[in-house]
Amino acid sequence: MFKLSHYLVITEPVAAGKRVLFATRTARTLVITDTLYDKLQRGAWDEISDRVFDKLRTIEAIVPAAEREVHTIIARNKATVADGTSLYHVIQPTAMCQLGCGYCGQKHTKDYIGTAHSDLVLERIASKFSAKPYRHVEIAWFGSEPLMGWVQIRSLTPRIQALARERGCTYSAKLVTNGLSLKVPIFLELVQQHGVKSIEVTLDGTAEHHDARRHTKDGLSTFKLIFQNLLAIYNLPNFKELGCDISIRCNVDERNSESVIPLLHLLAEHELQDKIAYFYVAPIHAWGNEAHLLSLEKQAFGEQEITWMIEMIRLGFTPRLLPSLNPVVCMSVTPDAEVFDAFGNVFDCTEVPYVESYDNTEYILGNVGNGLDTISTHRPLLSFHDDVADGKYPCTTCRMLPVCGGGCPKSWREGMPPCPSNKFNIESKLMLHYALHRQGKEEFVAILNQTA
Amino acid sequence: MNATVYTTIKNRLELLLNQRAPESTRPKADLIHQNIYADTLTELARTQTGTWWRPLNHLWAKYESGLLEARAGHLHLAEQYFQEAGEFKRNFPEQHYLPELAEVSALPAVAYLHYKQGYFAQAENELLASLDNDAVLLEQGYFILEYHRIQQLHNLARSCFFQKRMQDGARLIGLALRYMLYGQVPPLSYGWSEGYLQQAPWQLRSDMLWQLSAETAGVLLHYRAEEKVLFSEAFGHLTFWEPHTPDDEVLLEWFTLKELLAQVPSDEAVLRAVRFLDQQPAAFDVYKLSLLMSVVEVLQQYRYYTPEVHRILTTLVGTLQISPRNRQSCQLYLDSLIENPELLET
Repeated sequence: MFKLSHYLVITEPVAAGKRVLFATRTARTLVITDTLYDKLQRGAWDEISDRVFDKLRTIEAIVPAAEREVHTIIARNKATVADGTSLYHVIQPTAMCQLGCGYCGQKHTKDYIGTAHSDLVLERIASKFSAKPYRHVEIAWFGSEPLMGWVQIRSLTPRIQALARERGCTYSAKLVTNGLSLKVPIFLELVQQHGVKSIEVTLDGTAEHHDARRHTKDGLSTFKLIFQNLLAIYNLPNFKELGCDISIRCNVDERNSESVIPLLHLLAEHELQDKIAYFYVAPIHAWGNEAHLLSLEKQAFGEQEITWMIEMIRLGFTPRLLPSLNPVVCMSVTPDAEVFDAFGNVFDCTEVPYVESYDNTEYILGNVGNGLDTISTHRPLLSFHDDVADGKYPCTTCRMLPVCGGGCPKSWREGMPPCPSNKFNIESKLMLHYALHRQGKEEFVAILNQTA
Repeated sequence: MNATVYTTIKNRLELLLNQRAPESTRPKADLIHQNIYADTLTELARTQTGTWWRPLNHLWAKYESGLLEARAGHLHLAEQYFQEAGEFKRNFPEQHYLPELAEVSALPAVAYLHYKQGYFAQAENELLASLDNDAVLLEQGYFILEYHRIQQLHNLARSCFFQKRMQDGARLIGLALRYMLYGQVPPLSYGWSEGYLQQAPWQLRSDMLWQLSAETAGVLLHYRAEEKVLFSEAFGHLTFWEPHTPDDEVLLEWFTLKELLAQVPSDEAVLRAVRFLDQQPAAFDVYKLSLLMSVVEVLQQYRYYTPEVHRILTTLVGTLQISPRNRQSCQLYLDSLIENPELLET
């Protein structure tokens, strides 16, 4: 009646006679003995006690023999999408950005979303309420550089908040910014008036590396300004009480990967370990361009990521080692979420706006200015879950699917596997996880000594 | 009621404001949440199903997962879990009463999903089917399922209450309580036997009495105008039984006081109700609220529902450990008595 799940990662022995088992269907870990490992490999269920069997069954390391697991996972993912009660939209209030990052695929212009298009965007959002009983409305302010559209954010937010209130929904927003304009007064207004609960700022290493990549369009340095802004905010006496997380993303390719550790040291010197909500390193990806060609090989990136994580732990950060379940991989797989750009264009993917190579492609669903009823109901990426179930992508057989969700659907269509680093370094992360927990403090010291 | 009695009542109520609910000398027993029901069923099933125990346990866990998702409002995910369970169940052979054992968990869980989806008739049919299904297993020694059946009566009542079929709901609660207290067999399904109930500790019955009564008392608070009729359906004539536990004694006192206050109440009954408020621990706060509303009606009858009493009672309601909905509803009711003095005449 039962079999060993396909969706398991089991490490090599982490300590005498012990391994870590990670059941990706539930994102839960278990330390198992070699003896139990052997029984699992042999499917010797009768040799396993009821108590242990129950535990393994509960975390779905053992599953019904007849179950087609990939179909179960996809069905649960689709059910989670259907059960969602948060109405999510991305608004890109301007096509402008101060920066001229070499790897950016967007074409920046001094255009801002106008009153007429804003009205139509609101009308479009309001029209969604008839489909479902939503409980929450969330807006993501996204680039180009959203704070260049500060006037538009200030004008649109109260109207969307009112809309949410009228429908009995709560409201929150998030912001992805280069941090250049993120001064304390703006931060406070974002948090206290505009419902912003999380902000992501990009730092591509320390000044030397960051400024070589994330300079202004005129070639001026930006690191110092951004870092000063961040320090001023993180050091506000009531920063934690304000309830807005600020995370830092560090984009890397082979040109700046050595700057990650110096950046971590700089952050630690300023005692930001418990103030930064989340620090993560992301490999440069293709953005309608060839930027990814300079990106580190996935395997090499995976190995480096472990080094960075160990350094983070050593410095007192608490990196997220193990992934959680990821049933909703991105907005493209939710039928109600949309992106609006400064020209009133509507998309189902954040990677498409302002990128010339996507002009006149099916990724542009329409333009609110042409009438809301002209916006296409065909969303090219919406079938992603079914495509995975049908075996169109390698995700169908990947044991990481439940915690990865499949990665960027658009990248798969473009022939660029978007597999996350976890796929390449999950065993190492499990060993670190084990070492950091009660059972493995001594092993952790040993790992640290090896990498010192 | 004369002015002296009124003043005594008012003063005693006011005293309550300054004291915390009495600490119970004993923790509130709760065998329902201590899993005695599930543990007993598990033990019985484990011994009777042999190698099929693990698959059965897996199936029950699937329905439990679906039920948890449905309770969290994730109805599609709940449906998905039930579908996974349904596929797994197909392999069950017709032996060891496995199909019936599977339904013990399946029918109420799926009924709850249908209830949440608004398919009330379907949900109620599944709950009735659950009563019949349990009857088959009771004959096979699964005595604990008699309590499961009482839970299904409660679920049926919840469905009725939700649909505003108040009398139907109250009647179902009355059937369950009278069965537990007097052994009166409910005219639904078959095979009821108090002998099954007796095989479990009385405390489980006592906890179930407490649970059904507390929840129903809370529901009736929102139906002030019909409360007496509904109370009579659910709780009428429940004063002739022998308490077996300290909780039973409190419940019996509550049943008695509610009946006394529904008639032409004596001063002594009102004072006894105030003593109930004073003496019982916080686990009985919803019962206290229900009694308080009855006391209010008595005070109204004698035109003693004064602004001073209103102030005391409003504050008192604010101190009780009750649901926000119950608190708000009662406070609105009390406010309406002051804002609309003509109500005092009714």
